[in-house]
Amino acid sequence: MIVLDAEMSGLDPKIHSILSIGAVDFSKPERQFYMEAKLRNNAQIDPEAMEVNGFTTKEVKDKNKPTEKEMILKLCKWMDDTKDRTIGGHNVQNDIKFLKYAIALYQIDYKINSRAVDTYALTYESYLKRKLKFPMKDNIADLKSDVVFKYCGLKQEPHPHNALTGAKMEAEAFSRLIYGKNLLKDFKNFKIPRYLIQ
Amino acid sequence: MIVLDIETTGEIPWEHSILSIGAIEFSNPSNQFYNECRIREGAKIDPEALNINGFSRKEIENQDKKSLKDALTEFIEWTEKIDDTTIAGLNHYMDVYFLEFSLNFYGMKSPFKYRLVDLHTIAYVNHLNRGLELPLESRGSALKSNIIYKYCGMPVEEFPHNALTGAKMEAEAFSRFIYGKNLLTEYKEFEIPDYLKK
Repeated sequence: MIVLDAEMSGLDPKIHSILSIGAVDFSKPERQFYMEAKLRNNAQIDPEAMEVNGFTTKEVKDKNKPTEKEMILKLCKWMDDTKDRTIGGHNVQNDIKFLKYAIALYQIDYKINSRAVDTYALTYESYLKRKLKFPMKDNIADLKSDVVFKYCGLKQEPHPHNALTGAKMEAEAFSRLIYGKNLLKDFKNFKIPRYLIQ
Repeated sequence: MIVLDIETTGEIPWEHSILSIGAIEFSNPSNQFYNECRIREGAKIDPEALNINGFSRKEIENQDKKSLKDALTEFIEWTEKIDDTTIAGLNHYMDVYFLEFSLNFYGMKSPFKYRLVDLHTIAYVNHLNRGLELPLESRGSALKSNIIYKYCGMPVEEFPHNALTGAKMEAEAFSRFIYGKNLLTEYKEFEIPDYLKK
């Protein structure tokens, strides 16, 4: 499983672009990927997204940065060294949607599988098993990434978001939810809650 | 949690149309919803999709069938009586995308979010947890519906597919994974494997 997080210039893959990708090979967590790219030609910038990822307009238009296509090609090459390239993450279908769009746009010969693994579903399952009451918003379980991280005994994700930090925290959350064990030394000092220890 | 399955005329929400919606309230499984409708005006038909869901062109163009707008309105009314409308299913990101596009098409706002409880995640993690080798296809997870149902001790899904049967089977699989228990009388005779019993 590749635990992946991406930061974008907005929510719509057709008009926004991927600005950075972070990834952790879950079975060999020392294998990590991080790369930033400049804004795709003609792609738009949603100020709200930039507030989340912390990039400035000057940074994302820096001509010295690699292109989105170069970033995706490097990611694909990096993923090639992994036996199981199933993508994992938090609400990860949105990241997959952007990746698939970019792969099709640049006609890259690479298949991203839609069968993914999501910390949202895993945390929901854990709440059901433990008969916990969900935090709700608009009648939907509001298990945001920070709720998931807190449930796993982790700190809040630093703001602004960084794709590699996001991927590492998600990988650590997966390890705690699946095995009840610490995965990365970055989070070794954060105690695993008793209810996750198997 | 609402376990949802839909059948469509193809894979692209803005080109194809929903033909049927099946849903079950997981915490109150006798509360079920099923609706069929005629094809949305101007939508395309992919013959492969009709092969999967078994509808004929004559059936989906039958003007005596309710419109997609009416079918959606009834579905929304059904969900309004449910406290937790988090959507669950199997690789159902596209189902929610279809619902969102179709509701917007008729000027209605989708109450659903892309916070989804995916059966694939639960099945994948159960394999990891038991130290099992994952079936792979194109170097990604090959945990398709019938592989998951077999793993849960259930029969293969009938062909052609029916949206309510799909939702029922997914709900039953969720129950077996989460609680190790049978949910619906339809599947009572199918023994739950020991590795899922709690």
